[in-house]
Amino acid sequence: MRFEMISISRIQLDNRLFEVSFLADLTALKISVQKKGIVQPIQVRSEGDLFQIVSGFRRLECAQALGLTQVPAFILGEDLSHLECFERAVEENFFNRKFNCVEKAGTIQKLEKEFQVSKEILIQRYFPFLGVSSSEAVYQFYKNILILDPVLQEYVVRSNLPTHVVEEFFKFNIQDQKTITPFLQSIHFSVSTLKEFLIWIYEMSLRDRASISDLLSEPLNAIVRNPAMDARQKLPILRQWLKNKRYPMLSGLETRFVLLKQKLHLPLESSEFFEDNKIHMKLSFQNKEELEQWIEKMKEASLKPEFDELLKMV
Amino acid sequence: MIHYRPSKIYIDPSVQNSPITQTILKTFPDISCEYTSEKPSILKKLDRYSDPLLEGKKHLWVTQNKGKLVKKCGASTSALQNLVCCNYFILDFSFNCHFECVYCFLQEYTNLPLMVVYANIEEMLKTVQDLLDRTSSSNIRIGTGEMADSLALDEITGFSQQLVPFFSIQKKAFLELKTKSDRIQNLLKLDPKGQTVVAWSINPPSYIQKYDFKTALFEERLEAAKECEKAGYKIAFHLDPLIAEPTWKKDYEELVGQLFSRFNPAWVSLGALRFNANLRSIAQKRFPNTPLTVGEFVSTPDGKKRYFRQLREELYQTVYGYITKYNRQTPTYLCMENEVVWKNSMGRVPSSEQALEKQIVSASLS
Repeated sequence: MRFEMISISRIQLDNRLFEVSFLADLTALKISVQKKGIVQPIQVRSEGDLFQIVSGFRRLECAQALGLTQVPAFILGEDLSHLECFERAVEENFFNRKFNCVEKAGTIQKLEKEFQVSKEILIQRYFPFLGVSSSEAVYQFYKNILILDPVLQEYVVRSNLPTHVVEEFFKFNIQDQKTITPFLQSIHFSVSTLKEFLIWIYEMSLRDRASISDLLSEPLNAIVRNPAMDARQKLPILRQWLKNKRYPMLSGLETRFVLLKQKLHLPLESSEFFEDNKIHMKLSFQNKEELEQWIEKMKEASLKPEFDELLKMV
Repeated sequence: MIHYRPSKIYIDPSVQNSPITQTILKTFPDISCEYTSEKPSILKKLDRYSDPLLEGKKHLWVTQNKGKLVKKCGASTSALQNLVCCNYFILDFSFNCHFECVYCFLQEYTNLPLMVVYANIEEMLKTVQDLLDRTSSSNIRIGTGEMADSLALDEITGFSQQLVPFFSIQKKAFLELKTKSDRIQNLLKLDPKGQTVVAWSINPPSYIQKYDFKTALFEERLEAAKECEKAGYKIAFHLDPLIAEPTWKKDYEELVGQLFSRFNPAWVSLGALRFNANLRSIAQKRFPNTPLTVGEFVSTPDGKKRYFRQLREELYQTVYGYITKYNRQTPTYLCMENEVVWKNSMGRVPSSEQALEKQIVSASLS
C-alpha cells in the first residue's frame, strides 16, 4: 500500500462495486472537507492507468462538490483480492459510523452475489462482524429489506424503525407498498401507531379479501389528501377510521355507549373493551348542594330507557 | 393424519431402561440415536433454519421430567379475575406436538422446540397415586393433553398402555386423553373399566382443513371416537378454540348436530380462540396469510388476546343453545372464562371449582 495525491479525473467514479453507504448525510463531512481538506485518505486500487475506489465514496463526493481536483489516497497492493478490498471498505466504514439496515442488507448482498461468499460463511463469519445475530431469520430479514420499494427503504432508514416494525412491511407486495407510501409521507406516525396501522390494514385485507389500494382509497382521499388538515391532525382521524373498520362490532358498541352516556348527562365510563360488566362513574363536587345535584341527575337518569339500554349493553 | 418420524433421537441415559424408551427404540431401529445427559446439541443450531420450530420437531428427546409431574391446570394460576376453574389436573408426560395447528400456543416455546418425551413413567404414576391418596375428592380428572397431544405419539411411546390400566383400578380419578389424532390402536387392546375418557378437540371440517395441519381430519377423528366408544371408553369433545368465522353460526350448528347424532358425550367444553400477543406474529410468519387473527380481538387482563366479551358470550350462548337442543343433560363448561361470561352465556355460575368438577363428572361417569 502506498500513499499518493491522485487526480480525481483518474478515478472511475461510476464504479460502485465497493460502495456500502445508503442515504449518507454529507453536510458535516462537506464542512469538514471545506475547512481542513480530506484528513483521512481514501483507498483505491489500480485498474490500468485508472483507479477503482475502494473506500471514501462520500469524501470523494464532497471533494467534487467543492471543486477539488486532487485527493489523498492509499493505493492498495494488487495482491489484494476483491473480497479483501471489500472487507477493508466495510471495516473502515463500520468503525467510523453505525450502518443503517439497508447498508447492512446491501453489504450482505454484495458479499454473497459479487464476492461469492457462501451463505453459511456469510452467517457465521460476517454477521457477527456486522453486529447482527448469526441466524437464518436475520439473513431472511436483510434479504427482504432489499426487496422493499426504494421509497420505503428510505423511510425505514430516515425513521430509524426497529426490526419488528420493518418486518410488518414485508407482508405487502410492491404495489401495496406504493399504496402505503403516501400515508407515510403525510402522517406523523409514532413507532407504535405505524405498527398498528400496518397490522390493521394487513388483517383487514385478509378478512375482507380486499386489495390494499381498495381498502385505503377512502382515507387516502378523505384524510391523507385533505388540505384542510395538517400531518398531526390526520393521525387521530385516520386511527379512528381504521378502528371502526378493523373492529366494527366493538366500535359500534363504543359509539353507542358514548351516545347513551351523553343522553344521560352522567360521567359514565365502561371498562376497557367492556371486559367486565360494570359501568364506572367518577364524580367531583365541592359541597353538599353539588352532591345533591348529582344525586338528582342520577335519579333522573335511572328512569330513562337509555339507562336500561346501557345496563343491557354491558 | 401425518405420522411422526424423527430424524434423530436423543436419549437421556437415566431413562434408557424405561418401557417408554424401549418402545421408542423398537419403533425406530433405523434412526440415529445419541445418548446424552445434556440438552441435545441441535438446540444451538436451530436458528440456522428458516423455521426453527419445524426443524426442532424432527428431533426427539427422550428424557425425564425433572419438574412437577402433576399440576393444576393453568386456569388456576391465571391473572384473569373471577376465573371459573374446573379443578383439572395435568400429567406432563410429553412436551410439544408434531401437528401444526395455526393457533397452537406451543409455538411460543421457542427455547425448546424439540419433541420431548418424558420417560420416567414409574415416577409419574407414583406421583399420581400420592395425589389420589391425599385427596378427598372422588371426581378428579387428570389429563395428559395440555403440553402435548395425548395420543399423537402413542403408537411410538405406548404411554396409553401404562396409563389406562393404572387408571382402570382407580376409584377417585379419571384419565382424560385429549387428542386431534386417530392413533387409537393401543387403546383398543385395553379395558378402561370406565375410568378413561378419550376427548377430541374438534371444529367444523372446513376449519380443521384451514387451521389444523397434519392432524386427523374431521371424519377420521369421529371414526376413531366411535371405535373407542365400542371398546368401552367414554367420549368427550372440546370445541376449543371456537373460531368466529363469518359463517360460524351455521358451521357450529352443523358440528353439534354431527356430534350429538353420533355420540352421547361425557362432557363438552367450549373455549373461544385466545392467544398471547407473541403468538399472533409467530402464526402470521409461520402460516402467511392465515385469516385466523383477523377477528375482533382485544387484550384481556391476563395479557392474552381474546374476542371481545360480547362476541365471546354470543359464541358460547349460541353453541350451548345448539347443544341443549340435543341433550340438556350433557355437562358443558367454559374453559378459561370468568364469572361474568359464565353468567351471561350459560345462565349460571358454578359455586366452586369442586362443584363444577362434580357436575362434569357425576352427570356422565358415575
